[in-house]
Amino acid sequence: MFFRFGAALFLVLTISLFGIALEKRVLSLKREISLQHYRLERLMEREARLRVRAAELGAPERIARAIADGAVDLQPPEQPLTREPRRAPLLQWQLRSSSAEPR
Amino acid sequence: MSSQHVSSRRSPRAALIVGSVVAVWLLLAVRLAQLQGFHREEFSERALGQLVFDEPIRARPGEILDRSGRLLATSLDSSSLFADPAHIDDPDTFATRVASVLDLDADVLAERIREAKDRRFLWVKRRLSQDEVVAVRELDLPAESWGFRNEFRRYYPQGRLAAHVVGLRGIDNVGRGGVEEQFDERLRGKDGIRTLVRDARGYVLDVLEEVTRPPRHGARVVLTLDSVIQLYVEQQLDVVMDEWKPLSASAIVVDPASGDILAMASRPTYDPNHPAEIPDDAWRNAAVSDVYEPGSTIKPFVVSWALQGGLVQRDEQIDCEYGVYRMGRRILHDHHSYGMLSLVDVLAKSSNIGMAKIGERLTNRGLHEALTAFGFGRPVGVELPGEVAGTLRPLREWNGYSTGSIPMGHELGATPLQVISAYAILANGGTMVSPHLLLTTDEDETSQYVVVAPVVSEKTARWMVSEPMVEVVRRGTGRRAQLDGYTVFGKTGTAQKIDPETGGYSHDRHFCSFVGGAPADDPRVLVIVTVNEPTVGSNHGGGSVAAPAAAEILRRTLIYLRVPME
Repeated sequence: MFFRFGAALFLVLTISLFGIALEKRVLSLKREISLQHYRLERLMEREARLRVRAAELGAPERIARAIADGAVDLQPPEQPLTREPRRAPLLQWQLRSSSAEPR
Repeated sequence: MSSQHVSSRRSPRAALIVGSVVAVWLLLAVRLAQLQGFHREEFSERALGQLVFDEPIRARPGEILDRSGRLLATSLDSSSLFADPAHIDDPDTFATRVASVLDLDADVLAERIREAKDRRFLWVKRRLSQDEVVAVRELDLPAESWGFRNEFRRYYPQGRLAAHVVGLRGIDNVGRGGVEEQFDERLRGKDGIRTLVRDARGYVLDVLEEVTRPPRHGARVVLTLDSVIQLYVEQQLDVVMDEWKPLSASAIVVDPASGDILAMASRPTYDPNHPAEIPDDAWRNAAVSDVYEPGSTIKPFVVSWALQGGLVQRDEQIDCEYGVYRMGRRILHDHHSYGMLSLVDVLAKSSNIGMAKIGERLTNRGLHEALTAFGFGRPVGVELPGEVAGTLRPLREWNGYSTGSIPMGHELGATPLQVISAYAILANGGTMVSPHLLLTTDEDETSQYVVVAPVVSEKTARWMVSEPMVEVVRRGTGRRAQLDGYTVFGKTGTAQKIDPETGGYSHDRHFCSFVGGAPADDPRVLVIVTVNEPTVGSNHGGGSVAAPAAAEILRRTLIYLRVPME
């Protein structure tokens, strides 16, 4: 009778412990998911800030002002340098000291 | 005997005890059944309400980009400071300390805190800079009296560039003006909700992921604008403002074949990053809301419609009456006296008498049809709020004067966008492709709205562009729009404004404009520059005020777009 009682108690305890372990695992995974959401938000914020920085550094107005102030030794071309369609949003400005011949 | 006596004595007491116990248990069972059965949901909800709370997950507003992917508007995370007035014992001390690092008026803040004494939440300052956040933390204020809340701050990396097109997003994430207002719902997105379970002390125990609703972040909107061309336009408008000191000015650049608006700018303008400093008169986008009498810029449409209807011939000579022509009770004058002029010269020299004679052949009905066909009197439909329809009165309100006035661009009002849209029809071989700003969004469905419709024949449109409108620039009123290496076509406009004192046309208040494009044989770019009432200088004609700026915009844009020189 004691054996049976002990076995039943063991079974109940085992099931309870298994349940607790499972619950802990679920909680830990939920925590992980929350953390991933947080990380995603931080990464999106970081991406936005880096994009802003890149946009500020490459802003046409900034470059134009630098050229107008003489801080950059560049000049816009006086005629189209190529007939190929533009693939990247880059300006084909050339060094003032270089030849103005079309390439 | 004696045991029977005892038994009979215990029995009622035992029965009473047993009965009481059973009754208590029964009561408990009934109560349990009541709580767990009949009122289960009500109590569950009350318990959940104490344990569970919803937290919004902020949707990040979408970006606005130009056609090459350059960033025009984005959103960055920022902290906003709030106070808990109910937990502030001494509003004056709190206000003095906070105001010293946030550049606020301490007395005003203290008064606000006192007025909100019974409330638990009061904004102190929103969208703090990183330095301000650090400074507030270093104040070491009582923890329960304040807090930070994260909000998105709209940022415009290009500053003033295309300010009227982009618009701005207010402190409560509501778009005001421009694309920000037009696509407000798409750009704003929709906040999500996260459900949390917390204990009695407020610590989060669990996140109910199964009921979490993720946010829908704002859509990314890509415009047809090109920041480089936009910069060229902005620079030229600044030159015009410096040189002529007008009330306002605007410029638009359009690709006539696709209807893409490559640039649109207006003066006076503003920096959307500093909304508190925007002057009242800078909010208006003159390119879509300035209504003016288009003057001579209307003439090519009248001639096109007359050619289309066979009422004039391309090689026809028109008698311009040496500068004076009587139309009923009215006497018309030209700026210079001309005799016989070819149809090309009527436009090149901008003869009002020649145009009035063409108007007589078209009659009022034909003139009205022409203007309606070219889109006057109704909004173009560009994706901007505040676009106005201009003024084109119903035909029944026209009279004999209209026959002479309409062909010279009087008696009607148009916006710069309407005028360039009408020119785009001629530059695109007679087919209208409605100008638009939206290139694409990252949403599934395409939302670009473009109307394509034939208006005049390709033959008529090509001839108008390559003959009379080229001559306008070559030897007519638009000579200052000539470019080396490109054949420019265009038309100048100089409209007299109404004098508010006399009610008649003023002789010193003008609305100057120039519309033109290049190359004439295959127009790739079309530009309009309008200048509202130049106040300095003497020669206030469209050819001298607006044409040079338009030519410089054209030159830079054509080189930038790699359009080969002829």
